[in-house]
Amino acid sequence: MRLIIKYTKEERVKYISHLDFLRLVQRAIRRADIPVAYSQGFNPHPRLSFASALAVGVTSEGEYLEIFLMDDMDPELLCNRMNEKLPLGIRFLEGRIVDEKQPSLMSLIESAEYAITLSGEMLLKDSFSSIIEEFLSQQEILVVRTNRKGSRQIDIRPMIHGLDVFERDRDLLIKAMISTGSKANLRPDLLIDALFDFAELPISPELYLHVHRLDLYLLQEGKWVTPIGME
Amino acid sequence: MDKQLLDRLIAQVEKPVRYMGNEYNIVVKDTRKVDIRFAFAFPDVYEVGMSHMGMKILYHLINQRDDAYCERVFAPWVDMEQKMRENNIPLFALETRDPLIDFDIIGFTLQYEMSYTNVLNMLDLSGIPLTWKERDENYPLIIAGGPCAYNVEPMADFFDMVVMGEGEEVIHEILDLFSDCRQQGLKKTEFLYRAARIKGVYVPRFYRVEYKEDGRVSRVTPIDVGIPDTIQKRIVKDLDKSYFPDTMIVPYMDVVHDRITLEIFRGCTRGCRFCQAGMIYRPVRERSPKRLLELAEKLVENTGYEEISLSSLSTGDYSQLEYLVGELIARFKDKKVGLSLPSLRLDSFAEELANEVQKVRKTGLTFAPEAGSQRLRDVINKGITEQDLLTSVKDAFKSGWTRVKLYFMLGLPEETEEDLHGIGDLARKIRDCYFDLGKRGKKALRITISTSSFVPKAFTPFQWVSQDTIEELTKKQEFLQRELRTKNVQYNWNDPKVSFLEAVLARGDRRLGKVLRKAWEKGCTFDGWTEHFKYDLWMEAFSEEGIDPHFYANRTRSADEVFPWDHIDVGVTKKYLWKEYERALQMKLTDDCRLNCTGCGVSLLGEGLCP
Repeated sequence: MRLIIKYTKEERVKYISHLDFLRLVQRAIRRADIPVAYSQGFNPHPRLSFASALAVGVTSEGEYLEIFLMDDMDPELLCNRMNEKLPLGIRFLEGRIVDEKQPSLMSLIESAEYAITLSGEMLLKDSFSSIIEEFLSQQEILVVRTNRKGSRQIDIRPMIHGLDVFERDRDLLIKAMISTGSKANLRPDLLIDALFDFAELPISPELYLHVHRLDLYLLQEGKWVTPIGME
Repeated sequence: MDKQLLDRLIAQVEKPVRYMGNEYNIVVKDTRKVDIRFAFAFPDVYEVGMSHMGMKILYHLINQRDDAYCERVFAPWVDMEQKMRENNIPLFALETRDPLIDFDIIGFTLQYEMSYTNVLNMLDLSGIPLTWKERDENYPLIIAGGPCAYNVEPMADFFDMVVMGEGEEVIHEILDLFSDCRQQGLKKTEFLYRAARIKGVYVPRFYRVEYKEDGRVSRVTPIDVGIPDTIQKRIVKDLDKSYFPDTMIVPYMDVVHDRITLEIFRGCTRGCRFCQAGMIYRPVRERSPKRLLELAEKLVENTGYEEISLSSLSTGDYSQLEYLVGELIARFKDKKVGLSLPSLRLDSFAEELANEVQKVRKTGLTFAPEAGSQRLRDVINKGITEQDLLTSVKDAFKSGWTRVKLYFMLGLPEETEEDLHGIGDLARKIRDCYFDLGKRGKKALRITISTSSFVPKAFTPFQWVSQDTIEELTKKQEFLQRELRTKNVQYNWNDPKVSFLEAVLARGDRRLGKVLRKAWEKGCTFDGWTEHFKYDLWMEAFSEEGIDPHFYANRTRSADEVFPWDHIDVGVTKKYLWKEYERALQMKLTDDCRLNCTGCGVSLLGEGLCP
């Protein structure tokens, strides 16, 4: 049986790396005595995979993982059993059974929605929505992306599917729907860098950036749907 | 303390998860409802400290008490320390993130000498004065324990109190007394005066050390009536009845030993003459398979760990090892929980055992012959022969192992060039064993030879000997580099400068306190980490304080020398250690004392202790 589980990674566990997170879920599965299926081979490991890696320091209320079971189990029961054995700050919210032959969740995910909080007195709040409008009206948005192979210029405009700004107390809240996954991937901090660069605002250490992922989406018949809501 | 600022700082450092806390199985208590706040302090980084079994035991043991709350604190890595200092964030405990200065007791564990400057640094980061003389009633009580506590003299200026031996029972006596004294409104000195009468508790300030003109200690005496002349170490009699946690904190990051550790016995009866652990942890006391299996079941259930390791000084000597291993493998196979057997001694290695373990998980094979010739192995009482070693290796190769690691010590007493040559010979013979079987590719074989420099330690038969100088040790390493320049063989060696400093501190006295402080002031921390060890600063500290380190490391002591640690009673007597030293010089082996009592003195610690 193959299940998709939606879960959270909250403030108190936000520094756990992707690899460490995998290990902690495996250990929680053993504690909860979930009948997980193991891979074949010399060094069998539980058949468990994540929809998308979450960067260290980022919180989320919409993460997904897939798990294969040896014996059938009700998704709700699995979530309840796991929640008793997971560290505080990680909660399995809901699950659904999916077709065993369906492509991996990781290959389906195409975008993610983030809430990015910036706190800093120096931000010109009033003008921010017009800045965003101008920012998005550009034909292309070129940024330099650096990785192990070197740096190259890319256009991130097609990777931005939505960008809104809100004010909350003294903070600025940016809601962004951006490409995530194997086909195209835009990191939220890169987006903020580009936006600030455009607005000619400095990125300073006092500008406290909190990045929170709201949900993951895949495209079905031209519509964004979550892994739980997909057909 | 600004906890939001702290959170922001954590985000900016390497491996932030070191400072995050909130691991599975941590103990959460309402701090307003406990009388005693205890911080268990490990003077090294998180991933080292979280591997330490003593902490796992004491953490859960103290937290069983309703009146006390034990939290953990580790040495912040240099990047985090810098951020904390820049932003005036004091050292905090992981569970509540409360500053250490708000705690009642801070207990450091002293696992190795090279962590001493980290103790000072952690106190300073907490805003706590380093020496007990500078700390008034308002500061937490600073205590210590662990193997280095047996000769804690170099750290005597800094601790209020030191605990000798196993902590499971004495920690309750100390906490009970602490609580009593506080209810009666008694001062710290009055508490310490009473605590000094608890067996196993050492209060350095209540002892006066006098020195001879030549710099040696003349005597150590109590300064007040009611303070005992000697401090006898504590041991628990029955491991089945003593506390062992059935739960453990499960770290998120990959710590050094990230698995369930089952302590199968304490002590070792082999009597290797260089080995301090073999002397100070006597007598041997085993946990029964029944109790161990019961603990294993609960620990797997409570932690979800994928691996169990058996821990002791000499796992192969456990009297029911085969039964235990067989049961553990059978019971946890379906749950895919593996078993690892570290520190297996060569002479007790059984091929069937290796195969059993291999079924679950395959790991490298490690042997510790310690010396390269039979003659020198007889000097150190490592009662194994080359034949034993080659037979075991051959068996292992037959069963499919291709990697062998061998550990040796350089600079052992009575060592000659022949002994070094013997290390090379052994490596070649092992290679030949592999090639003689002739069934696999030559490239697969990997023999790793590692040498460490011998450090004479207090409470061992070699406590009288001089350590080789740094120059001598370097020459020996260079000799081996030439000797081991062979295919399939890799040679690793350590920095003799670190071993030199370790030797100074291991047999040091109270006069080294000011050197430690000076070295720390100059910026020495994390001395056990190669990239942070600053030998030159240490030498400056010695010279500025007018202390000659060679007096401690490179001096042969006479039979009648009074040691700075003579007022500590570890059970094994000085007379016995001297006898063993003489036997070493005569190359006489001493039997495993399970076969024949060798009269080390530890049986006098209590009736029925030795099997």
